[in-house]
Amino acid sequence: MKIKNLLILLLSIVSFSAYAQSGGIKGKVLERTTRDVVGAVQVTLMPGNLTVSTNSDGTFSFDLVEKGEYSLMFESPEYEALTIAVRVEDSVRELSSVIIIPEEQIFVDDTIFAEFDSETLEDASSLPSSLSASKDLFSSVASYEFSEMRFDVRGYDSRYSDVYLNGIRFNDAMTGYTPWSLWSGLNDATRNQEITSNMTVGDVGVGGIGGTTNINTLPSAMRQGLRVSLVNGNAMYRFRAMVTYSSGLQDNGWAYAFSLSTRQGGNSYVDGVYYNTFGYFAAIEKQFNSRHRLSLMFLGAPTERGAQQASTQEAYDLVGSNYYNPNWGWQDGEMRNTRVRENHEPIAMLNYRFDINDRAQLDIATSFRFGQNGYSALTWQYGPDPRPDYYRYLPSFYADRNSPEAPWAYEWWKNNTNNIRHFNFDNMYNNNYNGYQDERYGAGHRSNYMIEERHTDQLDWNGNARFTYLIDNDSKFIAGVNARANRTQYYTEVKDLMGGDYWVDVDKFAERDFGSSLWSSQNNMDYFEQYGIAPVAKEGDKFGYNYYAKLISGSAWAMYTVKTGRLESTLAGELGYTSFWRTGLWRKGLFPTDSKGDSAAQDYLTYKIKANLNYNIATGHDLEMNAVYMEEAPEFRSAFVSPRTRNRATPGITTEQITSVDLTYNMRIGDLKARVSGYFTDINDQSKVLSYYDDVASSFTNFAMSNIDTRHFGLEAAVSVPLYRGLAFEGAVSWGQYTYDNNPNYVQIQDNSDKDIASGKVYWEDFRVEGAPQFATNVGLSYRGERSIYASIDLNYYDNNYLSMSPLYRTDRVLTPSMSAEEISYMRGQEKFDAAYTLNASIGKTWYINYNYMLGVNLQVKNILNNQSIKTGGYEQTRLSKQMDSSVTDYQPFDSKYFYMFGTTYYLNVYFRF
Amino acid sequence: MKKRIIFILLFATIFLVGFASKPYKVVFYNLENLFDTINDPDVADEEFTPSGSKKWTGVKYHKKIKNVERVFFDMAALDKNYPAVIGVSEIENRSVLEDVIATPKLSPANYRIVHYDSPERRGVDVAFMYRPDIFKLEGSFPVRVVMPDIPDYKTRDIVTMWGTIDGEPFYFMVGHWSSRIGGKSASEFRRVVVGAQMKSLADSVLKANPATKIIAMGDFNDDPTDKSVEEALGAKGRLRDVKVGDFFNPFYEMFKDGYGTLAYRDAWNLFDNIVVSQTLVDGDGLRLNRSETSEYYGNIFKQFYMLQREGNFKGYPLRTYTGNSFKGGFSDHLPVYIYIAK
Repeated sequence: MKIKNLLILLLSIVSFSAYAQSGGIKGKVLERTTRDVVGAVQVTLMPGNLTVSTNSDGTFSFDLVEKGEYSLMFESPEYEALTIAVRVEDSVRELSSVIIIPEEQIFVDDTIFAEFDSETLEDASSLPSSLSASKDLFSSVASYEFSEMRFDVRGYDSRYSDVYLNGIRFNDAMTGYTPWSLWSGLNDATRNQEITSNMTVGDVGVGGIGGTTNINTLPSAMRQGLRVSLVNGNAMYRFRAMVTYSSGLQDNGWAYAFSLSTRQGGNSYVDGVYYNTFGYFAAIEKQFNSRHRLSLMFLGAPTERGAQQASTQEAYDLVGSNYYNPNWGWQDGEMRNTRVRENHEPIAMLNYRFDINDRAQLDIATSFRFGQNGYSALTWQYGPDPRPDYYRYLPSFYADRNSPEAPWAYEWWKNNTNNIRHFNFDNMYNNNYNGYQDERYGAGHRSNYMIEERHTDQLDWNGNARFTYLIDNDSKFIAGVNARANRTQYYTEVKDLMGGDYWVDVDKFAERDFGSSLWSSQNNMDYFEQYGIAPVAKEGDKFGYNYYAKLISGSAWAMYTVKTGRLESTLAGELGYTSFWRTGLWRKGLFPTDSKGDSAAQDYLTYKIKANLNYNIATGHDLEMNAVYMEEAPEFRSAFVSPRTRNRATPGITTEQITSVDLTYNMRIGDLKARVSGYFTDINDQSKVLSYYDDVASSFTNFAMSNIDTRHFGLEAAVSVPLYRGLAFEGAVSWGQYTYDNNPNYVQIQDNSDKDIASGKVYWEDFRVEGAPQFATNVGLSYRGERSIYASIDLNYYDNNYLSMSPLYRTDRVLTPSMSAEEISYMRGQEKFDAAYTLNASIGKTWYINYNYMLGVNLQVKNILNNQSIKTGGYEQTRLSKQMDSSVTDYQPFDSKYFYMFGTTYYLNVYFRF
Repeated sequence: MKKRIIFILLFATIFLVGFASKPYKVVFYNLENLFDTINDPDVADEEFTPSGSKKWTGVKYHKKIKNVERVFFDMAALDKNYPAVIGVSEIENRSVLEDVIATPKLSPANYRIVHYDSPERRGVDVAFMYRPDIFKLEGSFPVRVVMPDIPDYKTRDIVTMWGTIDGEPFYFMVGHWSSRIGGKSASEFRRVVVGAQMKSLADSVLKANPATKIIAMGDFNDDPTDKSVEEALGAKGRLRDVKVGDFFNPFYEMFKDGYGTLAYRDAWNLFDNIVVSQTLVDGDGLRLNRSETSEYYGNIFKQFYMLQREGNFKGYPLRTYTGNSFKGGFSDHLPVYIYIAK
């Protein structure tokens, strides 16, 4: 009985759905030009020969038409007969509009062309545009593989690369460095990038020798939809989460986008380092009509990051790890890092575009950057250096002096007795708790140790305008003007008094050198004169030094590019003006007349000229030649000998001159790609200022170098060879020679007196420029398979990587008459790091779900061979140890400090998009 | 008086010569998903509806139609002559073409449509628009693509039409061959099948009337040098290799010289082809013609406004969509055209 009921039910469902499935045809007949409905049209359905007439509203319908192929014939007097094919599936087929055409004399009216002569259309077969959505072969290997070795393309510093955000150049106004940290972690929001490499002129600016990158964050240009990604890794941070949404351009002309991200945790190799960083981004855009659009963007990346400090090989060996970090100590059972970067420098930006017509475009942009940027360090007033790896605490110090304590120190370091490898916070806190009391400074104890935070807080305004004109399919003209105003406040602030109650703001070096004179140790003379004592600083108060760097700059540039036959030529030029000066906010006791107020302004007029030529030899074969001559204003940080204390400009400071040429051969035949480049670059008249404690003068000094010339030349090659079904061989080589090309001048100045104590030459000629391997090579296999699987394995080899040199060791000052030629060359010799191999691999897959959702997984493993003794960089210390056994003083350099590449690391990224 | 007559004669000659020498243009253009905004329950067109993932609204549709109008009109303006025949792919139905034809700049050409619904999953079709004053249509037929080993395989039909131009018999085919999904080599056999099917259609037409002038066009999803085009369809790249029964591909040399109609992974592909039968290469009467300014028989229509001007995809065709992001552009393909003249 029940079964029967069920069957009836089932059958009725089946018959119901069968009924629902029977299709039909519905439609409406309209007249072509007027789109008016046409009634009384005879509609015939074939096969079946059913005929209906359209109603007065033009509609008609055939019900209960079985699945199949039909033709419909529409006939009406005064109209051309029309037959259309119709497929009926399971439902009613809606023909929203069937257009019929009035029967008339067929006449093609081409008078419309008469009005159409304003725009000349060109021969359509202009040569295809070159495409560069992905990085070229060599650049992609350099950025994905060689970056592990801090590789710099052609040995250039990052300040020779121009980074733009929505058309505004964002390289730091004070240092020239690329500004990536301002939006670090906002990878999705800044994904849209237009890149030119090396000397190629960009659309947003002439660029230098290190390429241009323009990040476009306009929401209308961002990929519409939601994107979520999660990362787990052990190389930089443990965890990253990122959510991004972009509305895309909506019909009402609005587009908006936002992105949030966080990165948390440390890495598997260095203790005490960590990320506690966030990123936020929001942008909104309105396209008012087809001609005007305005967008507003706001982004920021509040960042807290524990830093790593390099140490000496002696310390690394004693600890048994090349990742020993001397920056931290235990406090209440937790690792506390004394060196923490904390910054939050938001950027607000307004972009306006006016499409004057199809070919002309005006872009106007303005931006404002503000906020705080601090880097903490432990500081102390009296007593010995508390840093654990200070040279006097290491066994070598005792051994060099044949001291009986040497084996003890060794044992202590070996066993980390009393946490000798780390800061001793308990001692420092106890010292501060019991710090002396002085009622003049207020209640409580004076801190002898504290954590200070060195600030570089910028207010940076930019405004620019750019005019783009497409002259024809093959030529283009762009011109622009830029203006920048920057005020950066440099100061130190008390971050943590570490158990004490206040900090007395006096200059400890001056106090030591001129102990008898109270005024000379004052950092803030006006306060001292008013109150008779040095100011005290509580947490959050400024102390030490406090000044503004102020900069105004402007430039005008233009570029013209034209393709004639197989040759594409681009010419570009720029004229620039930069003026900067220091404004001291405090009067320094040592320099009462030269520390407060404005320094003399340094003014620089600069220019650039550039040419890019690309000759298409034959399909797939291109020859590219670039040349540039440019002058750059020096950076503020190297233009003053001691901006913390006084206004004096660096002796010999002048504009840098850069001359560079390169020649590239590019080949692409199907998926077979190759590139070979040769380049030659001279960078002349660079300046640099170092401030350090000089053991020869036994004083804190400023070491100002000018007229530094470097020469960079070399070859780059890259190749990609398809092997079999998505498997390809890839390889790249960079062989370069980056050397100091002369012996720069130096002037050494005693910091406390501003007296020149020495000058002369730094014997750097023919030594190597540090910081990047000058030989790097990669061979790899990459696989891009069906079903969106990809994998790669790469073997890299690096050589000719050199240690950064202390200029002091290469001056005559450290020479003594007794030194032999070997001893001199030992003193001056530059350390070359051992060559190294690394093996890296990655694998990934993406899944598309319902054509709308995408899920992706990607795993990268680096340094699979787990080689933990690869030096990536380092520097010589500026200190010297004096040997005074004999009648003459003899100097020995301190041990150098090194950074090492991490052992095996991984990076797992899971992302979801729809 | 005499002078006047001479003038009139001169003008008349210029007029006649000018008029008569205007060659016929044949165009093919992949319109990148020209859908209407209405949800058709029988095909998977949901993404191209206002509530779909692409938010395909009347505003966007209108913009797209204006863009298509601009391209076809500017192609007409090249020699102030509307194309005689236009093959298109990736259109949803007949009515979207009616909307193209009804645009102010194209309506003077009075185009007629040959269109059939293809059984393709998403419902995108190929179709012809032709000028009835030039092409005298006699018939048309949608040829179903048959994949021997995959009985349920559904793809775009090959739409064929025949008739006369200047009294000479013409046969047109337009197709949109199987895509490269799954990889170029893994999917190649499908395109080889369609190419061969087009070839056998041509063979039967020529068998019936060896003088027929055949023009086959479409988005072949393969380059002129690929097996499906050069061998299966038999479209030869060099004029001297073209034997009776063969096709000549005017785009072969262009592709070899680096030209293309769509850009993928920083390289140009030339998927959009118009190939002509041997009868249009060395027959009498109407023949494939080369424009005065070009060294090729094929032409790619590429204007600055059809390309992306900025961003990392600079120089790529300016698309309507990238993923679900509306770019407001034209198509991911560039149109191609040839000239036919006496």
